[in-house]
Parts: sequence; structure tokens; C-alpha cells
Amino acid sequence: MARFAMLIDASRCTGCNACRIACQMQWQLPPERYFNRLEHRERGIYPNAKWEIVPIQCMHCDNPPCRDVCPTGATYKRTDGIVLIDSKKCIGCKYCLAACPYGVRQINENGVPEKCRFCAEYIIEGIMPPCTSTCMNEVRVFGDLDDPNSKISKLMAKKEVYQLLPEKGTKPRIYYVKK
Amino acid sequence: MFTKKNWLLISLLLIGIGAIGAINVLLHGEHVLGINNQVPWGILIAGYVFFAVSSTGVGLISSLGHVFGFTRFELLGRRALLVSIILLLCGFGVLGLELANPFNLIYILLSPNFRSPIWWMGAFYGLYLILLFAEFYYSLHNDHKKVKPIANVAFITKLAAVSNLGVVFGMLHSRPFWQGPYFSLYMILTAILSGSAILAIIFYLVGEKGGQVAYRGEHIVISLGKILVAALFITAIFTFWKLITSIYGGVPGKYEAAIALLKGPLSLKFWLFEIIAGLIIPIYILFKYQFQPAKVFLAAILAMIGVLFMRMDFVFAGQIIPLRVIEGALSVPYNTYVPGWSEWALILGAIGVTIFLYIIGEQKFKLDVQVEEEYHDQAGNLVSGKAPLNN
Repeated sequence: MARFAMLIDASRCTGCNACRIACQMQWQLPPERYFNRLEHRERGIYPNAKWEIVPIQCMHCDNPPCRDVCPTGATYKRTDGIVLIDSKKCIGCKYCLAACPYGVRQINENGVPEKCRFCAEYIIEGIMPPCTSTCMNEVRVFGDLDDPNSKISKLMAKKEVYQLLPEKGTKPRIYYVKK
Repeated sequence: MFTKKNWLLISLLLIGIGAIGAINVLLHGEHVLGINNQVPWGILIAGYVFFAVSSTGVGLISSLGHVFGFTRFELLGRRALLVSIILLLCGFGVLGLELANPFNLIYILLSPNFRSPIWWMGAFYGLYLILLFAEFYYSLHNDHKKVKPIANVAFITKLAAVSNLGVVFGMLHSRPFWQGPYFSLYMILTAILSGSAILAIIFYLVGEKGGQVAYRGEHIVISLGKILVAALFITAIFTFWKLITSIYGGVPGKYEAAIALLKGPLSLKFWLFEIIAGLIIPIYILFKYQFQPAKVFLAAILAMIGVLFMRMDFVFAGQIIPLRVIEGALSVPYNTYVPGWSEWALILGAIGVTIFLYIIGEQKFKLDVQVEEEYHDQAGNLVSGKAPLNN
């Protein structure tokens, strides 16, 4: 059984937003809607201050609050770990938007809150998500944590990693390389 | 001023405004609402909470008679049940228009998620509505053997429903201002506040029209005013400590939300409507005029205006602070939300429907209840039994 995850090395990000645009093209999203975003912050104190860019998208949590609060089970988690939305079941209550601590959901034209799908339909054919494949600096590495020979498994074994907002108990599937 | 014709005209005007708003929402969908990805719940959710909690509150106050045997509150019986039904239907109506895909509600039954507080909200309030209809039906037919057990089950159901409504917000770990059991208790308390206020408004007007409002010669609105003032006081204490605990220690998320209420973008609504108009002035009026029915009526109207804004403040405050995913990340100080005109129209429309249906209910049903009591008959003797109407 696959256990899909993503490793992000934010220190390599230039802030070009190609990941966002590639994703928008893949899913034919209008300009104002996006499944991944870049957050900016300043770290350190002058003269050692630096600008940091952190890519954010759905964390495909192992304990996803969006799934727990959905009254109709429209949001569900696949056995391979990908969190998806069955729009046919969505009543449009927007509870998942309120529940997600990462603020990654976006209401679409039908009132269904959408988000990153880890390109579920493509990865089973071995195609990388475009946010990953389009990046010139290989900020993202996507793969199967259950495959010890996958690139992500090897990198995770070597690097020190962290998750965002661990105190929320969501157990995200997106890991960040510690600097 | 408070003639039936005037109330009908006001209600029809409000319904007209609401209908235009509803048509706009139905034609253009959610895009006409002011909600966005950062503030997904707007004044329609606040409106739903307003109506649903008021409905429960009216039920809780009438339980004093039906369930706990305080004879004077049996007077409230049928009118309380009727207004409780109407308020809950209006709440469901507002919520239905807020949902993007209400027809998919069938999946609440087909693929239920029992971990979802909203699922339980639907279950408890759905059951409550059925019990209300049953209780109202048997009450109209004077079948007290059936009313009593239904009222007992309904009491448990309404407590479950209203406290669960607080949990709908309290379960959200992503929103520190809401998270925790506080709002479950707050919902029960403010249900009693809005329930006593609504019943005071109705029974004052009923008394003006010569309906049955007196128990042992005392206007029932006096008793309702006393419950109202107690609820207002406790709400003030709850609000005070909620804000103090949010500010103390500067807990992220809670602190900023409390500041948004106290001196940020929500401060006008909070101070002017929720605190001054909704709490301070009603408490002052109730004490100054010693619960005179006409003054209780005025205080209750102000309290209900306060409650409406209290619901809005509560819903906004939980979402107004941008989520802090990355410590120190650049972001706006506050999320913005400007309600669309259709949202205001729908709230006004729902208030109009409540008034309209209540007037129709007063005409259609025999709502006066005879209460067992001691009273002086025409000869001046103290008699036990059922007092004649308009005693």
C-alpha cells in the first residue's frame, strides 16, 4: 500500500510562483483560485536577516479536521493518504473551511470548497504533480513513504524535517526540511 | 401602535425585502454573499444561530411549566410551542439559503458522518422540531397524558441541541476564540436570555389584546422580566470573563479576537449594540421600573437587538483573525467580511416570516391556556381550580 507524502525544502524556493500557476493550469482554475500559495516572512536580526518563503498547500493530514467535521462524508481520506472531496455529497456548509488550520480550502463556482488533490488521478500513472515537476529548484519532492527506494524516503532518512502546526494534532503528510 | 394591521404590514414589508434577497441568492448563488475563503461563515450563520437558539430558549422557558411544574409558566404553553416552531423553521430557512447545495442534504442520511457536530446539530434540531409539532398538537387537544412525556423528552433534546450548537464552533481547534466548551454553556445561557425576551414581547402584546396573561393576578411578563434580568446579568459576567481570559497572557488567536471586539473592527457593534443596547440599558430599565410589563417589553426588544448583534460578533470574532500557519508570516491584520445586501434582506425577511406566521397562528389556534390556581370568584371567595379567562 502506498503512503503518499511530500517533502518541501523551503530554503530553495525563489518565490517565482510557477508551482501555483502550473497547478492552476492543470486544474483549469481561474486566476483568483489556487491550491497552493507562498507565505513570506522575515527571519533573523540585521545584518543576519533573511527573507523566507514557505510554500503551503493541503497537508493531506492523517488526522484531517476537514474530514471529521464534514456532516455527509463528502471529504474523505483514501487508504494511500490522499484527502479528497466528493462534490456530489457536499452540502456547501463550509465547515471544512472553518476547520482547516492551514487555510487551504477555496470555494469554487458551485459552492464546493476545493483544495490540492495531490493530483490523485495522475500520480497513479506515475506522473508527478505539476507543482513538483515544474519547479526549477526542486523545492518539492513527492513520493511514496512506504517505498524505501523512493526519493522522498531516502531524503527523509537523511534530513531533519518538521511539520506545520503540530500542536493542532492534524499529523500532516507534508514535511519541511529544517534549516 | 401595536395593532394587528400594523404588525401584518410590517411583517409583509419585511417578507417582501427577504423575498427579493432570497431570489437574488437563488438566482446567483453564493457569489452575492459577502463570505470568502477567509471568512466562510457570515451573518446567515449568525442568523441561523439567532433563530435556532431563540427557538430553544423559548422552549426552555416553557419547560418551567411543562416539565418542572411551576404552575404560572404553564400559561406560556401553547404560545411558546407555536413561536418555538416558527423560530426553528425560520432558522432552518436561513440556513438552507446559506448552504450552497442544500439538495445534497440527503447525504446526511445516506452517508452520515457521526464525528461531525453539524450532523448531530441536524439530528437534534430535527428531532426537536418533530417533538415540538407533536407537543403542540396534543396540547391543542388537551391531551395532557401525552404532552407530559413528550415535553420531558423535548427538554433533554433541546438541551442537547443548543449545547451541541456551541460545540459546532467549540470543536474547531483551528479557531482559538471558539475552541473549548465555553460556547456550549454560553448557548444554553443566551437561549434563556432570548427565550425570556421573546416570550415577554409576545405576552405583553397578548395582554394588550386581552389574552390570558395573568397568574394569581400577576402579569406573567413580570416573571419573564425577572428571568430576563438574571440571564442578562449572567451573560454580562460570561462575556466579561471570556474577554479577560482571552486577553490575559495574550494567547495567540484568542487575544487578537478579543481586541477586535473591544477596540478593533467589531468594537462599534460590540459596545453599542451588544453591550449598551443589549445588556446595560435593558438591565437598567428592568430595575428602574421594577418589571412593569410595558417596560419589560421595551427591555426585551432591546435585549433581542443585542442578541442579534451578539450572534454576529460571535461568528465574526472567531474568523476575523487570519490563520497563523507560519510564525511571523506577513499577513493582513484582520480578515474582511462585508455582508451582501441579500444577507441582510434574508435576516429581515426571516423576522418578517416569524411575525407573520405568529399572527396567523394566533388567529387559527386557541392559544389561551387555563391554569390551575387559586383565585377570588365574583362573590369574593378564595376558590381553587381553573380561573376563568381574562382573570
